[in-house]
Amino acid sequence: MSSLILISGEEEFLVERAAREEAKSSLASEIFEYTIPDGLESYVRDSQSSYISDGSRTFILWNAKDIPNLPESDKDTLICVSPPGKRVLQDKRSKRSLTFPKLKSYSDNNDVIKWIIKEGDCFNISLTRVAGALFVNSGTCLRKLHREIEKLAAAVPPSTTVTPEEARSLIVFSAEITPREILDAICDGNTIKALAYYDKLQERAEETGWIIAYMQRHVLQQLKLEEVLGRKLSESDGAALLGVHPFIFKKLSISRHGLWSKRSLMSSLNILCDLDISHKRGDDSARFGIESEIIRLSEEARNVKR
Amino acid sequence: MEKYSHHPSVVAFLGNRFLGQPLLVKTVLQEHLHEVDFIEMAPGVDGAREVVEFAKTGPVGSPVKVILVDDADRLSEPAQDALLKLTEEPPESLIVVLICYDSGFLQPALASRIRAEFRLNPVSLKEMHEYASSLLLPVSDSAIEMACGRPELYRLIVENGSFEELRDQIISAAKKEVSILSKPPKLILDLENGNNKIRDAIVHVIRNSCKPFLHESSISMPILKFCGVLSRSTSANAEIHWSRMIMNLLM
Repeated sequence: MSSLILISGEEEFLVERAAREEAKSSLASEIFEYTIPDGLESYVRDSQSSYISDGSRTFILWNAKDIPNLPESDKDTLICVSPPGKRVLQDKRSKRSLTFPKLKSYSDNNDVIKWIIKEGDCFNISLTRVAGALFVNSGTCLRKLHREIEKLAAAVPPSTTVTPEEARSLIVFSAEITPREILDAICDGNTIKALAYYDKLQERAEETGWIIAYMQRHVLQQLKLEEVLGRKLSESDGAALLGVHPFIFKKLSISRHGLWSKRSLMSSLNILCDLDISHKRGDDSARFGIESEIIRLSEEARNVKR
Repeated sequence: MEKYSHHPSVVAFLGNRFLGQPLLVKTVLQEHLHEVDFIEMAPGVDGAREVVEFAKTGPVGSPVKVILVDDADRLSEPAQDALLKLTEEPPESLIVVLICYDSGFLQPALASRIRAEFRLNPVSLKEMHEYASSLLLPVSDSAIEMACGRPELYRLIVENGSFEELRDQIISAAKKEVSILSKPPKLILDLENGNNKIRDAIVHVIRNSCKPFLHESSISMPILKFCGVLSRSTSANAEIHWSRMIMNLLM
C-alpha cells in the first residue's frame, strides 16, 4: 500500500514547511501538488494512472478536509495537508500524522520566542539575546520571522550568539524604507519627510499598492481604536481586539489616538479603498491620490499636535 | 448529434451564474461525444492557444469536436481575439459552446458569431428541493433559501458551510447591529485572490439576504459597492473593503 502522511494545524508556515520537507525526504522522482476541491479530479486521474518510469511519485493535497483514495502504486506517497484550522486529519492508514497547533504568545508563556530560539539552533546560531526583539519587530508571523532568522544566519559566523547590535543593523538594513516610515512621518505631522519617503519608496519600483494597503490598515486600526477606547477595555483586551501585541497597542496605537477625527478617518478609509480599486484596475492616477491623502493626514496630525 | 448535418458552429448558454450550465453541457456531451473530441478551455491566452491547436485536427471518435468555454464573458481581450479567429471560419466538424453569465462583456464581433442561444432561468422551489434531495448531502432549507433557485449555488453553500455565518453577519450589518470590532465572516477572511466562483457566490448571498433592506440608499450603497468590489476587483483585499462597508453602514 502506498504511504499516507497527514499534516494539520493552525500554523500555516510550519504546516507548509513540513509538507514540503516530507515530500523532499520521500525521494520521489516527481512531486505533484493539488489544491482541493479544484484539483481533486486531477489528483484522482493522475494517482490512479501508472507512472511511466520506475521511480516513485509524491502527491501533496493542499486544503484536504478528507482523505481521498490512496495512489495505485505502492511506491507512491500521498501527503494530505488540512486547511489552516483546529481540525486534525485522521486516518488509520496513515504512516505519520503531524500537527502544528497555534503557538502561544502570552507575556508569561511565549511559544513564539521559544520557536525563534529553536529555529536559530537549526541555523547553528544562538538567538537568545535577540529573540524578544525579533518577536516585537515581526510579531507572530512565523514566515516573516523565518526570513529574518535566515538573514541573520547568513550574516554572522556559525555557532555565534547574535547580539542586539548585529540584529538591529540587519533588521534595519532589511527593512530599508517601508510604508511604515511614511506613516511615522505622517503621525509626526512631518509632511515633507513623509513625501520624501514616499518618493524614495516609489523610486524602487511600483509600490503604490503596498503603500495603500499599509495606510488602509493604519486608518482602520485607528477607527477600531476609537471603539476600543470608547468601551473602556483593558490594554490586553484592546490589543487582542485590534490584533496587535499589547506592547504595540500601548506604544504605538494609543500614542497616535486623537490625531485625526473619526470623520476624517472615515473619509480616508473611503478614499483609500477607492484608490485601491482604481490601482488594481491599472489606473495610474492612484499614485497622485495617495500622495494627496498623505498630505491631508499629515497636516491634520500636525494641526492637532500644535 | 448525428442527426444534425448542419449544426450551429457557435452555441451560447446564457443566464445567471450558478444555474448549472457547465454541468448541463458536459452531461449532454458525455452521452454523445467521445472524450478525445471534447476540450474545456482553460482561462487565459494559453487556454485559447490550446483550443486553437485542438481545432486544427478532425474528430476521432465522434461526428464533431466540441470546445467548451465557461465564463466566456470574463475572458481577456487577447483570449477573446483568439476565439474570434477560430469562429470566423470554423471547421465543419467543430462546435464552440460559450457559457456567458453577462453577454455584455463579450466582444461584439464574437457575440455576432453565435448561431444558437439557450437561456436558462432559475429553477422553482420544488425543483430545488428535488435537486437538493438528489445530492448525497442532507437537505438544507436555509441553503435553498439562500440559493434562490440556483442549483450550483446551493451545492456550493452546502459543501462550504460558512455561508450561513456570512448571511447572519450581513443581515446584522444591514440592521446596524454590528461593530467595527466584529470579526469579518470566515468566507471574507479566507477569500483568495481571483477565486471567482466563491466571490460570485458571496455576492449572490449578500445581495439576496439584504433584499428587504436595499430600498434604503444608506444601506444599499455600501453593500452594493462591496458587492461590486468583490465581483470585479478580484485582487482587492476583501477584509478591508468589508470593514469599510461596516463603517459606512454604521455612520
